[in-house]
Amino acid sequence: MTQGADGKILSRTKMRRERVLPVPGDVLVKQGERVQPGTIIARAEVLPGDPYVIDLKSALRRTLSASEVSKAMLKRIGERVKTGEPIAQVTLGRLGEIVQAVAPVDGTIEFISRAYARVLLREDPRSATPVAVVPVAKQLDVWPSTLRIYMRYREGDEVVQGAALADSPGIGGFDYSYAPISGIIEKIDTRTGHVTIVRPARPAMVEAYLSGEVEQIIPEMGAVVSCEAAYIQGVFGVGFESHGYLRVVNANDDGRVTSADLSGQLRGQVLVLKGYASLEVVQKAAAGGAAGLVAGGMDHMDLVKYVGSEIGVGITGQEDVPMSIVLTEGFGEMPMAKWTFELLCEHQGALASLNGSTQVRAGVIRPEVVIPLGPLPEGEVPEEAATPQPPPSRPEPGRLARLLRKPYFGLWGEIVEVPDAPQQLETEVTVLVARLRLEDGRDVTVPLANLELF
Amino acid sequence: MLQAILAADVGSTTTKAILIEQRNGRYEITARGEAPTTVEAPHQDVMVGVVNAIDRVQTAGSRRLLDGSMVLVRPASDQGVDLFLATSSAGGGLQMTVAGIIKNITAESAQRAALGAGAIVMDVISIDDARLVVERIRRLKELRPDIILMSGGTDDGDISHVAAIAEYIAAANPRPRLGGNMKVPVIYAGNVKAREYVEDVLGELMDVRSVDNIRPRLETEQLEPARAAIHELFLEHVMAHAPGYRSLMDLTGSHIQPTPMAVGKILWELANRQGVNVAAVDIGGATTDVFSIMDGKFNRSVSANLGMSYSLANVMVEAGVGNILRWLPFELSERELRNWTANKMVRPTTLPHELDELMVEHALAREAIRMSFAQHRNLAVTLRGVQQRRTFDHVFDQKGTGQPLVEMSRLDVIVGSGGVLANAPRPAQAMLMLIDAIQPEAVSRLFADSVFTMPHLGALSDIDSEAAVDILLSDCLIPLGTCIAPKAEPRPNELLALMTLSMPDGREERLEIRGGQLTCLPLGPTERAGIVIEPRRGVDMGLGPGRKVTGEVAGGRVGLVVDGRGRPIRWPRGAAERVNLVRRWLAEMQAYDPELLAHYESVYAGGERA
Repeated sequence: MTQGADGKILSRTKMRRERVLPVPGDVLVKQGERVQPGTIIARAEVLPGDPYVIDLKSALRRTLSASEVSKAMLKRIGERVKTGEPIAQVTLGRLGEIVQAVAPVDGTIEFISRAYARVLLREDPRSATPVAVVPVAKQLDVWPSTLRIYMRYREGDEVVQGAALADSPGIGGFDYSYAPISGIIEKIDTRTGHVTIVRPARPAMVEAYLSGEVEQIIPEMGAVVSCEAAYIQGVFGVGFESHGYLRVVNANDDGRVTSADLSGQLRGQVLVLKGYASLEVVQKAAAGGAAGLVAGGMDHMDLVKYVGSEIGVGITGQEDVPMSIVLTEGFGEMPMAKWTFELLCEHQGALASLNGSTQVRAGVIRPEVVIPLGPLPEGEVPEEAATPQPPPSRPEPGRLARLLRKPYFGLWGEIVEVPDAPQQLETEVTVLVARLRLEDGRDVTVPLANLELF
Repeated sequence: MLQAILAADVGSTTTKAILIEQRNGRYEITARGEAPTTVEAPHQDVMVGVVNAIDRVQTAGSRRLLDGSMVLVRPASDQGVDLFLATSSAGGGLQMTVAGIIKNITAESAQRAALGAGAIVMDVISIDDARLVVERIRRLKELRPDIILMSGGTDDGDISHVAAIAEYIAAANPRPRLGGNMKVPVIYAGNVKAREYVEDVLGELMDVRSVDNIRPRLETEQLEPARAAIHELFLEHVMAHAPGYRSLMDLTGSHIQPTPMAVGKILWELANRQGVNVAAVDIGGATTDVFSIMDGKFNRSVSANLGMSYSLANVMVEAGVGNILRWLPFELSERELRNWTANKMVRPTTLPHELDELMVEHALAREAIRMSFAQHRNLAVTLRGVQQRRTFDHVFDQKGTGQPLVEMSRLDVIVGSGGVLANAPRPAQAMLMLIDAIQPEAVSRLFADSVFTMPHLGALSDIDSEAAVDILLSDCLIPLGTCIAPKAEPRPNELLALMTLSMPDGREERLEIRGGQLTCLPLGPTERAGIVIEPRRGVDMGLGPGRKVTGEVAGGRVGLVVDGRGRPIRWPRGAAERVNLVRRWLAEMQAYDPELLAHYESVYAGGERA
């Protein structure tokens, strides 16, 4: 038995969302500023810094014990170094020759292994070479026009630093050309024989997600955005944050929506289906550029096809999908709960934010649809998302409940009686039950565990 | 002799308490009570749930346990208790990271030690790890383990790799999951010569404890010192920082331990006292634990993401839809199975209302147990990396290192625990689920844990192991019966063995064990029958192919199950034949109501529910 009215569907509530970067960066908004879902709150340029391993034994031309490594090191963990700066030094031979190990790039000493006499230097992303042009044909001594024959990668492939870009048979074995940096192969030039590797800068950005006001600035990280909003929590979803204008798609007489019903402009819209979403409808909506889809139910199999990979553990949100989906009821042919649908219809045309991220575990995260509203009329108090309370051990007659298992899945009814004694089900399990009168007038007996109370 | 003992198990969702009282010279469970666990918000104090559970025990029993201010009354006369024991798996249990030099040798031993101590192993770090050093360091940093167990190297080996592992841990310097300022405890159980170096590298950053090497020599594995250290640190660090646990520790006089560790203890005691090899499966909502004690050697494994609620869709994905559907006596479509499973995953507390749903749940349970058991057999293996001396006699009987310790034909007792088994409406359902999933060979006795009091009894076994085992057998485990299964790959109806049973009423029954057949014979829980099995050539009943077996078998709520389906169970190719076969098995076992079974056959004609 679960409690339905614990903040899952609220017609008006105060929403506050902390919008922060994963790493420190620049906050681009001010306190009190009005923001739209796509407004960038904060931004940081994140270039992944490559790790460089410096073998001290090789660089200093001698073996080193753990204590000798400590003595030889000129820099400590956490220290920044510039390209060519000595990081370790020893004196060799009677003449006192000074041999140094130098930093191959600008970066930070991340780790010193005294046991292996190695230093791990993390390249400073800001100073990292964004592009490397490698004269592969020259290195392999082959004709530039034949370069593609020897290449191990094609344009668009990702390479890691040190990987062999190409090889060719040479005198006494193979000759190799290695990637000097990690990145993407941008060009294989068969005229010059050069291969260009670019390191894509990854800007980390955080958007407002909601249409509202910046309530508080979190220095270097982001801000808190707040608004008055209608809030609908789903049970399962895929895809990350998105936003668009709500459009309710009318069903046919049989209650189904087909792809033919998705007429006109779909781009930037959040489509609302009262019941079942078929794969055909989902694919058409995604192809048409819809920002999101909210439906009662969808087949698990179709969702897997849409996402392109299996959905086993109930943790989603990171899928690379063109359109986020929020299911309000579950898997299969599920009619959307009456007041969820009515609330969405009421705000047809409004700008809504949605997030398909789901985590069915401890610390549960459910997908959501947030519809920011205008300011509250004078004197009215917003309906706060209540702290979830454990459901009463025995619900009182007259209470409205939704049924969560077959054969009545998705139906609504009013509790008529809750017998004191447990009763045996068809499965021969003896449990506490409730008797309900369904909307269609039928009287049914179901386990308390299969009720969602409202 | 103690008069009354209170024991509580703090689970992730429920805190269960039992009262054990001495009556007529023996201990018995006299009252039970449970209440929601209160580790998480809004209470964030484990004691609220513990006191509520004790209060319910008090209401159910005749002994006053709490005084007016809800404080435990002691000592015992006709009120209060002499001893309070507790186990805990709340708040994610004991989360550990283990490290070793070679993944299959020292790191694997460390993993076994951690699992045996009741931990969840979040990651295994080793020198031969395929990941980059930076990735390993980053992962260690992110995981925030409660305890790190570091092994590596034999006592006469090189120390450089051990030192490198210590350096990785130092570089990661993970913060503790609970308690902001404490240092993460590191148990060092590797090469003794590297101790000084390890303490030098990690000493300032972590709380380092050195114990005896887990693998002093390649051919020796000693897990106990590391396990004892884990338990000690669990109390000192992990429990002491969890919300409300300090009070619980004070109340129990530090008689508190991780739940899986206690379950392992009571099973070990059972195996030890009865002189049997035991395997136990505990199938939960998110994970499945498997324990085994073979020739006194204890092992435990945890299959994360194989469970009956949160992980149910993953069971379907990992097993494959076909492997789930093969256990059903009707043709269900993949679409329905997927929707059903995913809906249970998103609403894990709901119950099957109709029989078809119960059968689907049982099919999923079979596969979850099967996969968890297979994973256990991969972990519980003979030591890898050991040099073997072979004589000419062994040329034709060579076995590599890393052989499964759990030999199916030598498994005497199988215990099934967890909601889907304990709450199965008919014992035959639990028994068939266990037989189908584990596929025991030769002769094995099966039990179901009816009330999940194994943690409590494991805690009690520290005080009085004999009493704990007595209570386990009398009040906790339901004897399901005995499974007799020849090891063979038979053709349908092929004669595998002749069996003669001497029944308790003096009758003698002769039975042919034939390929593909499953037979259930009644033999009550307190009854035993003499047995002689004469296998045909090439058929093994545990003593070798064709060798006759004589002995005695015990009955149970179900009785004797004679399983001639072969190992592994063979399936016909056609869907209709498969469905017919499963129907025959279920009918023979009387696992479900035959009328309802017939009803659902017609409902699902064509794969979709009509």
